[in-house]
Amino acid sequence: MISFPLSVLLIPYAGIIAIILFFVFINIKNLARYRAEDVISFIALLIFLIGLFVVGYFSYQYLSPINWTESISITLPSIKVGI
Amino acid sequence: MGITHLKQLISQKGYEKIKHVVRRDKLVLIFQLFYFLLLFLIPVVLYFLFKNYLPAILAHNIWHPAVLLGISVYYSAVWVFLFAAFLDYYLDTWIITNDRLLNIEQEGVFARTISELDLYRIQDATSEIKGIFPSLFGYGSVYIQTAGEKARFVLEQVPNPHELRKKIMDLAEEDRKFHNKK
Repeated sequence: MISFPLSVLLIPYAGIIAIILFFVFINIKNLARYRAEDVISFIALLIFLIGLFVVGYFSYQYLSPINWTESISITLPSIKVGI
Repeated sequence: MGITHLKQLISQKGYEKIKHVVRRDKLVLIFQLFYFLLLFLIPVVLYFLFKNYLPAILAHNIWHPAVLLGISVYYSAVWVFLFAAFLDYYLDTWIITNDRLLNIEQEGVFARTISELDLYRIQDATSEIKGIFPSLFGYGSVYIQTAGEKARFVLEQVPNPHELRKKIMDLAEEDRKFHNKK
């Protein structure tokens, strides 16, 4: 039987979110570099950042009530070896 | 489009005037937005399916937080890819001046290509509207045959391609006359 805290699930989650944030940064950089003086670009960026904030807010709302320190156990299947 | 930024982007020459700035038809973006809207609805549908047919998963002490984490990642990724799709549409531009045709193409997140074609090198042009939606809404492609290194220029999913082809050929004819006088 293996026991580990539920917060172990947050490690890959954090890794994936870091990759997503990297893409966010690259997209904003591309927009700033190639569309510096454009109202539509500015509005699109604003909508994008608001949407990102909304996703982050609701993620926090749904994930924060979870007790991440709770220990979870997984029972490994037993292997019988016949000699 | 910010005109000063545009002039800097193409390194505008003294005698050069920007005649047309062409982008893919707006409907192309709308169809992509519709596709992303469907992607946004998938977790909602899955939630109702789980609630009715697999309620144990929503109550499970491991699966429930794992599903929530997965949905958070899914919505973040879809939103970022939606923005990337918008940028892919919006940063693709064809700029037609009295001297050149420039193709500025954003290829994904990490690649951008700018091609130039002198108008007097244009040999011929073909415009095409093909398919149900292009026929209904009047957008299509313009194929330009050149004498340059890049033999064919393609303006994809542009509005009123037949009209655009005529404008390009007219400008090419004027540029050829200008070069012949020299």
